[in-house]
Amino acid sequence: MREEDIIDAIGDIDEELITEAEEVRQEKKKKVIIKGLIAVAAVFLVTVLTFTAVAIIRSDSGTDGLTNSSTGGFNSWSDEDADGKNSGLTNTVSKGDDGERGEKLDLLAVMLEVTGWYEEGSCFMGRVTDTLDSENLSKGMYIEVNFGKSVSIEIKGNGEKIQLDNKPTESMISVGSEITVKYSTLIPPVVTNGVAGNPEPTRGDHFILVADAVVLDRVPDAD
Amino acid sequence: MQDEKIIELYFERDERAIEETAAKYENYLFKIAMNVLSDREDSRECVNDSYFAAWESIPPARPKGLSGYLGKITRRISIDRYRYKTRDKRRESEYTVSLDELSECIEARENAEVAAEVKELSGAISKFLQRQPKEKRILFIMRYYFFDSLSEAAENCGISENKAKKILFNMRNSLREYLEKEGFLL
Repeated sequence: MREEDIIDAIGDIDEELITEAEEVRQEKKKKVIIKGLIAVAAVFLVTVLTFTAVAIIRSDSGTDGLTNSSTGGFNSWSDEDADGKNSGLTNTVSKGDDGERGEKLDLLAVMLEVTGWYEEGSCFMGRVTDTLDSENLSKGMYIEVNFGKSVSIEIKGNGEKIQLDNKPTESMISVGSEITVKYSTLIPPVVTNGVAGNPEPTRGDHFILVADAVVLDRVPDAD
Repeated sequence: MQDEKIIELYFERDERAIEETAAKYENYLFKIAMNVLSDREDSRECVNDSYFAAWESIPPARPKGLSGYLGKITRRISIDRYRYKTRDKRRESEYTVSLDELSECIEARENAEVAAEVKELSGAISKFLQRQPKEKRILFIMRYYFFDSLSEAAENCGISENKAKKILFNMRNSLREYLEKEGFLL
């Protein structure tokens, strides 16, 4: 008898024995597939959880960043009165190094009297006539506000730009919640209509400015 | 498709039988062929030959388990192919050529005897395996029927390669003793 005969003989053994072994092989194969699927599912789950966690962390840090922004922003507008007065905003004055000439105000909500325009109407200086409960402001402060080209305002000391597209009075304009300007019926046309081609504001015009700005000087109120 | 339905297609001489067989068992049969031949092209041909052999043999055959039946055909065809190829290599020596030529003289007499002996041997091996614990006989069949590699067979049985090696070694010895006892001269 040759070795080959044993191989042939094994090939001819009872089919039940073959089926039995085959079932074990198939079972093992299924297990491997299931394991693979579980592994893929686990990787997918971990990836989703990781992305979710990262998104949550980023979201949290984004909120913190806004609140703690060094450039200063509005913490809340919620309790402002309809007439624009007694805004109830918690204003803070930081002894910042942002402006060359004065203190940087993280938040400003004041009634301003226009005292002068220069640089072709792109910048004005205003004198605080009403602090609107802004604790750290006082009447007589001079505030410089820079307007950008025609329809935007650039608030010095912050660098952000605010669009002023002929908004109705008493409306609010916000840019990314960092800067908001609110103006009253007394807002000068130049503010509502932009700078170019509009008449310069009249000295003595009043409007409410709620924004970051630079305090140029503290001049005792004549009143 | 269920095996019974595929077999019915064979009986109806419906060529979809081969398509359905290929769809269900191609990978399984290809693995068996590859384990024998280690050649993709040859294995592919053997699997195709298996479909043809199944088509030729069903009917009259009505296999109880189609996978086992097809596996057996593929195994046999693959082994035949392997022997044919290795015989060609051996022909490079004049000694082996002479041996083969002489062996043809006794082939006619031997064929019938060998076939009977192989059948008897097969029965004896089946009996031997049936007496073995399930884990051991499955390992044996995986290794010597399906020609799975040692590591693969061990993994399929959930045991270490070393343990599988030891079990198979002991089983071979036991089988030899059993076959000698049963009158098979090895």
